[in-house]
Amino acid sequence: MAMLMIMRRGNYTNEDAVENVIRYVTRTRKNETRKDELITWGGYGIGWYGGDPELAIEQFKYVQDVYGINSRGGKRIFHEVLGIKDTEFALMWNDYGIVYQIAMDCAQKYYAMGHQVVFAIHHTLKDIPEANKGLHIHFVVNAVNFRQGNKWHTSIRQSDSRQEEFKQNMRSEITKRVEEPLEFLDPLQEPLLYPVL
Amino acid sequence: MNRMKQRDECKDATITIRVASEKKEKIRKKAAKKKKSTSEYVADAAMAGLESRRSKDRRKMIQLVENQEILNDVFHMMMELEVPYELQNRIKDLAEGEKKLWQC
Repeated sequence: MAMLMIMRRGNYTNEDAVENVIRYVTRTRKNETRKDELITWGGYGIGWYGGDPELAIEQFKYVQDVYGINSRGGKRIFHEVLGIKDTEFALMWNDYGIVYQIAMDCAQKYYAMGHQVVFAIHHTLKDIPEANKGLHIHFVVNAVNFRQGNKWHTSIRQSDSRQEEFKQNMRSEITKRVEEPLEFLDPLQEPLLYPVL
Repeated sequence: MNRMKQRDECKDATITIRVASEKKEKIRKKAAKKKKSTSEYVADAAMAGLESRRSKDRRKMIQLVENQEILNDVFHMMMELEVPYELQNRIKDLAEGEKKLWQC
C-alpha cells in the first residue's frame, strides 16, 4: 500500500532551503532537466494560481520572518513524500485528477495544523538513480506555524498516523468515483444493472 | 543561566536622543510616576512598542494567509464554473493586489 516517507537528506536549516526545495518539487530550478516528471502542483496557505512558485516561496519566508526564524534557527521546512504504487494508480483508473484530489485532502491536514504547504505530483517514468520512483506526491511544509509561531515536530507515531490518514484519503477518493454514479441510477430504468434475484 | 541573565542586563551601549525641553519634562514625569529612571522608562517603552508592533504584524500575517486561502477557493470555483470574463479579470486584479502585500 502507499507509503509516506520523511525526507531527511537535507537538514533544511539554511536560508535558501525554502526556495531550493520548493523549486525542486515544482521543477522550476534553473536549468531544470526533469520538468516532464511534474504533473501539477498546488498548496494551502500559499498562492498557486500564478503558475510559478515565486509567490509561495515569498509567503513561506514572510511567515518565517514574522516569527524571527533567523534568530531562532533550526529547520525551515519539513519534507514528506507519499509514494503510490502502480497497482494503486490502476485502481484510480490512472486518473491524475483523483491523485490531485488526494494531494489536496492530504495537504489540508498540514494546513489545519497551522502550517502552509506546497504539494507537487510527480510521475517518474525514467530510471533515475536517487530519484523517487513512479508516482508520488511531495509535501513541503513550512516548519513555522503561521498561527502560533511554534516549530513543526513529528514523532514516528504521528508520522504513522498521518500515513494511515493519507491512505484513508486515497480510499475515499476512489470510493467516491464508484459511489457517485450509482446514486443517480434508477433501478427501474436500468434493470440490467440490478438483476432480479 | 545567571551569567547569561547578567550579560543581557549589562549596560554597555548608549543611545542619545534629542527632544524639546517640554517633551523631556513630560517623559521625566511619566518615568517618576512609574518609579523608573528616565533611561529605563524610555528603553522599556521602546521595547513594548516593538512587541506591540510584532503582535500586530502577526495578526496581519495570519489574516493574509487566511485571505490567501479564500482567494484559492475563488480560483478553484472559477475553474469549475462559467465566470464572466470581466469578473475573472477583477479577481486576477485582486490576486495581484494581494501578492504585493506579501513583499517582505
